[in-house]
Amino acid sequence: MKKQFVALLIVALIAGGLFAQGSKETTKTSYTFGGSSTVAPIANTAIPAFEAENPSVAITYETLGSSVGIKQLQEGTLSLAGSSRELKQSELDAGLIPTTIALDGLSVAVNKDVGISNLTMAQLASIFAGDVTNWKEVGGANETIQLVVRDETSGTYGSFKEIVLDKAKKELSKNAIVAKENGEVATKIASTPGAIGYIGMAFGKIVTEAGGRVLTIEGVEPNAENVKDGKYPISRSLYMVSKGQLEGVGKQFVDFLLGTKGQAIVLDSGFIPLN
Amino acid sequence: MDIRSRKRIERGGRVILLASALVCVATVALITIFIFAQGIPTFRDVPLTEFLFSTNWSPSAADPHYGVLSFIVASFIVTGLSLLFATPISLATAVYLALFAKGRKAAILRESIELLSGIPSIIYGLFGIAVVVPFVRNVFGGNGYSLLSAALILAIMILPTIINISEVSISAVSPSLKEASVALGATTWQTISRVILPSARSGIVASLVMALGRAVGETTAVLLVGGNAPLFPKSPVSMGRTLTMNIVTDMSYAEGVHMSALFATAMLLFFFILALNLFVIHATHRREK
Amino acid sequence: MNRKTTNAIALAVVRILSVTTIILLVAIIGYIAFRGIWKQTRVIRDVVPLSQEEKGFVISAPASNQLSDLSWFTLRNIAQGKIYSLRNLSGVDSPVTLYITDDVLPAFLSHMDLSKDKVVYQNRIPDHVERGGIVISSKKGKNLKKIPLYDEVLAVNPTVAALYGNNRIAMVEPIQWVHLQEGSVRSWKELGGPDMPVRNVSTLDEVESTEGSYLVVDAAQWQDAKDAGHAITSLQVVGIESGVNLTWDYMTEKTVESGKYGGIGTIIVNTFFMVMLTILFSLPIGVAAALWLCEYAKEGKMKSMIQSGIDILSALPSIIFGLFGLLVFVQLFHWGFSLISGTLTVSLMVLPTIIRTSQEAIASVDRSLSEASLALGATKIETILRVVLPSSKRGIITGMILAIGRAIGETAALIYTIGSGTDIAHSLTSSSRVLAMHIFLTITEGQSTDKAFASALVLIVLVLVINTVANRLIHTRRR
Repeated sequence: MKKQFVALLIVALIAGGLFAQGSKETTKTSYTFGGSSTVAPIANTAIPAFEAENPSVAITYETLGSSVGIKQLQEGTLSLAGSSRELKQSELDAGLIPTTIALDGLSVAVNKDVGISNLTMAQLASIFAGDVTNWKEVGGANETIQLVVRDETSGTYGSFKEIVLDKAKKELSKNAIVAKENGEVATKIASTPGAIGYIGMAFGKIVTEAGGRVLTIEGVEPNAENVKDGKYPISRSLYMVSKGQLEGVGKQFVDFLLGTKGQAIVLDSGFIPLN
Repeated sequence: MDIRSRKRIERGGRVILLASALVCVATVALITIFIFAQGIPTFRDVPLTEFLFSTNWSPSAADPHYGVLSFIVASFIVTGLSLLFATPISLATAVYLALFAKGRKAAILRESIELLSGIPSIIYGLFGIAVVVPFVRNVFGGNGYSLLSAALILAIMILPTIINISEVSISAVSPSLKEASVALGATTWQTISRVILPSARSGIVASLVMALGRAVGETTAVLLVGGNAPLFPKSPVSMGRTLTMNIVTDMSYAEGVHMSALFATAMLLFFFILALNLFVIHATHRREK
Repeated sequence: MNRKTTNAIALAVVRILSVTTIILLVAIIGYIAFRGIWKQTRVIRDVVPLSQEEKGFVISAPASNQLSDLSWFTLRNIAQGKIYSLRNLSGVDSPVTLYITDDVLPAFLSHMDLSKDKVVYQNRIPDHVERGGIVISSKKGKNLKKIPLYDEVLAVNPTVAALYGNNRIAMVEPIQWVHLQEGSVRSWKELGGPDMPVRNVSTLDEVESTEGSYLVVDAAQWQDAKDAGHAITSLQVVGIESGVNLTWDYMTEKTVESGKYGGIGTIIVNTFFMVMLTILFSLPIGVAAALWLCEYAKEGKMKSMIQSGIDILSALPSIIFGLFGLLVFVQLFHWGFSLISGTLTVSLMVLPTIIRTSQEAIASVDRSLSEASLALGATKIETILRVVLPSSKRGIITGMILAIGRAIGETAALIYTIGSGTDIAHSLTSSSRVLAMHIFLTITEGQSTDKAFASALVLIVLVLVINTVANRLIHTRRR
């Protein structure tokens, strides 16, 4: 009994010690940002850099998706929300203010056995509408097309639908693997024969490393120059959204993102800086 | 210590213990209240019949629809298939453990079952993505992310549940029954199939129902291998979304009616689990009588 | 069929099927262990995997940086100060420092096609080179490993890499590269490009002027020609590398960028916190509930209500607990995605496990002991504290260990409660990722399958050890 008591005491001490070590930092003020999973890589790199300059704050970024982020911002759970979609009129009316922090292209990526390197916008729309079901029909291998899409209410899903399918007046096929994050889309494309999907530009590397490829659209490669010039057709803006005017740490953080270092981080994370 | 303070401690201790015992009941009650409070408002906007019998799930369309029939069917297919795969293996193992196994072999087998039951579902999911999905893709066609893959993973996950519970009821069959059967000239197999298994029937059924409950509520592992397409499943190798997958997939982005429709999905799951448990309680009571 | 044959066959089938569990267990654990220990990765390079014999300098670096080679372009970027961390090169989050000794500087500059004022470096090599240090010297540094420099490019005529219909050569796969070197590729079509004969030429001028031509050439030369505006391009070549996946460094380092780089040290600490707190909440309540049920409860409505409450709670799927945690702890109590929200959710979930095992242990305590204690004038509570609890200690500990095993592997209940912060939790309300969630997120965020397997191996070993201990305890108790 005594021995066990001593053992328990030691464990408790270690735990206490670890907590105490952690709680040295309790003088810090904690903030929770969150939202779009596309903005997450920027936020997750920018936050440590920002904290290094402002040692009194501790920030976490929760990957929730644009819509939930915006909703939780309204509810007050988050103090700043990342969004990869435009705000709805109702959200703007509720006093939310978006600040553009970066541009992003949506890459279309395919599995390695597809045998295709380029698609036109019309072909892309037909594929995602389910009108074209075999790669043969667009000049590739004889292989059934497997669509990989994002969950319905993600910002990426919304942007892709708006830019590619709505313009072609087509409906997105429901016969598709649904993935929760950009990275999951990328890994599923990479591991499923015949797969095609859309991902934020930064995630292309996951696919190419696994042997898949990122397509050119109408012969244009998804890169920073082409998105800024407007040559690459599937692009969008990324926002940090605040409830009312930016103030306090939220403002400092957005200013940091828009500054030289912040925009370097944007570039480093695979997105396109504003300047 | 004087008697009065001892009595006070006695009374206080009793209250604390009772309060702790009530925590579980309170939790069940609170879970029910909270989930229903969130789920029921769905039916202000979505008729119950549409929710239950429509296969159209398009929450973000201009004219949104919230029908979960596809998910109910997918859940049934996945759990049904997993029971189909798991039952022969687990009953054979239970019979073997209860009637034949002894010594080291039995110890190893028992240990393996215990360990299998301890493996977290995320590990099963990872194993599923890396091994089961390519296996299904190569053998049965399709893209591999399918109800069949989910069912295979679930079958492994529910093995220990069926084995443990049905072994207990097989061991509990009175030895005199066995001896009588053998004395009448029946072979071992005839004794097992005609005497022992029928007498252990209620326990075996209970174990299958418990396994069903576990399978229908499993989330992480099926989420990773099921494909998650909100389609009405046409065959086992087609992609599908179960009730639990629907909750997890959309929850992170849902708002308004969409969000409460997800809680209504959880309600459905809750009812289902409750019904299964009532069934088990009923079945075991009957056996006890 | 004869009765005896049927009997023999049926019994054989039973035996064979009963071994399936062992086979499945070995297969799953074996596979996770294999992928957890060993990894194979594809590396896409702008250069071909060839290194020139004589360049007048040697590159060496500490073994811990996990670099297996450097490409000419990467080294050039490092020399120009354009790469600040090894993270994109080897996954190790460590700042890069370049050391060049004076004797090899001219050779280095000429090989890299750089002028001295463009190069950011230090010429004093410390005795202990830190992790991100890369040393350029005349011979391999002490205690350092030699790193090959791949400095040749697969230069091609632009027609080779151009778009034909919807097709173009994306990159050259390892086997295709072997065939290309052997000269057994006739047409670029075999590599997914245009139907154009493959021609190996000997100068960059010829590459520029001949359709379908290629040349393996010094990277510096290629860069010069490219800068001078010659119409040439190059193909990327894929290499396959294998190595050890789960390293000590991986287990101890902090997580960087949501698991893309670094290790799982901080996550393991968070997991430890979560488990400790879960036990702190659920053990006292669970044991108290079991005591009430065994020592006080009389058969009746109250007891059967509580018993069915426990039964239902243990049957509820973890996702339902997760939703409850989201509604109550995260939203209603405003604790957000935090350690406390996640822990309380899991505590409720493991409560039935603890109650049941404790109940069993308490029920098996010899009645005469507690009766003796009562007869000696002790109150019921005193008897419980001094007699019942000590004698059922072992069973209660078993229940606790089982609960730990369950809590440590939980994901569904935590997705919407515990958050995903990768730093060590510094308060109860900080978002803190635990090991099982980390695996889930590395898969769904697509960070790295190899890392997911490495973390999975750690988790599975933890769970297996915990459960084996619990099993041993149960068995010794029953004996």
